[in-house]
Amino acid sequence: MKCERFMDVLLSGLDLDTDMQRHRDGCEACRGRQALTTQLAAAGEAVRCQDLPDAAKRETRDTVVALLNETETAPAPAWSLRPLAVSGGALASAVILAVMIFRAILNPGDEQGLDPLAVNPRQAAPPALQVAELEASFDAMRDDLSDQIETFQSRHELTDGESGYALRIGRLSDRVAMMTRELETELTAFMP
Amino acid sequence: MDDKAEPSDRELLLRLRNGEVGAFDAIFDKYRRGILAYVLGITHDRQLAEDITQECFVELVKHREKVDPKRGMNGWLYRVARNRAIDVIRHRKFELPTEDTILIAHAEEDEAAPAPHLALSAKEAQAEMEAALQKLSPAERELLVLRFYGDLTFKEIARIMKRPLGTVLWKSRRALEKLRSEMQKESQSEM
Repeated sequence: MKCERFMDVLLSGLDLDTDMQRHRDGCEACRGRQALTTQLAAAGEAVRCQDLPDAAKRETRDTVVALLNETETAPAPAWSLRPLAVSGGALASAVILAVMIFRAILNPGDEQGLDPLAVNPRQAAPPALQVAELEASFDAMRDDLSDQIETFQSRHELTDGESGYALRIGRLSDRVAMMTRELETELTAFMP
Repeated sequence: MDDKAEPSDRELLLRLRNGEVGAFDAIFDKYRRGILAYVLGITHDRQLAEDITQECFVELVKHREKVDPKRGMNGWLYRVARNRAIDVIRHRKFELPTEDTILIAHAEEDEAAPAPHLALSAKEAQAEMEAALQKLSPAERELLVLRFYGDLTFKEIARIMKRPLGTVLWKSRRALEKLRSEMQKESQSEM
């Protein structure tokens, strides 16, 4: 069972968790989801009951005390940046992939010089199949792009304000988010 | 009644920068279980999760001057935990968690003595849930682990994963639907 309101609530912004909770209380479709999230929360609670062994706590504290007692800590670079060539490559492939998303989603008939919105349905695959393919390729490419950015971030372990790279990656993420919104709008308009 | 307000993260961080061990203790008490749960959810290796958790806090102290007090330590700690866990998993790709390793992890967790009311049924539910979680993609699993094991809000998750809130919500919804379907399949196969 689908619930359109759920997406509205999800995307509505501000006090998200409260809004979702309020909505779930009155929505049959969402109560099933609520049951699952309750179960997940219980599993999470059980996991959070666990703690570090006392020896590990002591060890951590001893290390920290030693660190805090160092008079002049000359902090090593927080996150060493590895060769620029790698980051450049990752960025370039992310950008190329972003362009591919635009082209593939907005112009799937590009090779034939066709406007996808102008394709005669009688000559093309059944609409349901086209839409399913679009959804699948959209999801796959977006996940790919997200994963590439994520891999780049985790490989370089950039922290906020650490370097210009963090800023550029942040902008790239914003651009991907913007493109995603645009693509979703396009897809919605395309769908019956 | 204790009217003593809990110090904010910002205050604790500033005190930590001044070298107060007490501030570290407070931070450690506040976040270590959440971080441990989160890393355990990713690695499924108790010993590794403990090591990474310890390392996160040591890193926090090493880089205390660089953590932005306005943004809080929560996101910083989880990001470090995430990066470390992903790095380790990447190096251990050949050892992807299987149901066996999950069972081993649970056997080891028995020593951790959870609250009595959670002991048996919660453990069974947790094992069942974790088996279903294993069927999700790593990204989907991580998102749900952050939400439910790390007990973070979607906004915090979006900050940690450096993804737009809308994407996190969309992915979370998809992950929940997939999880539900996996669990339904599981329960049908048991009947």
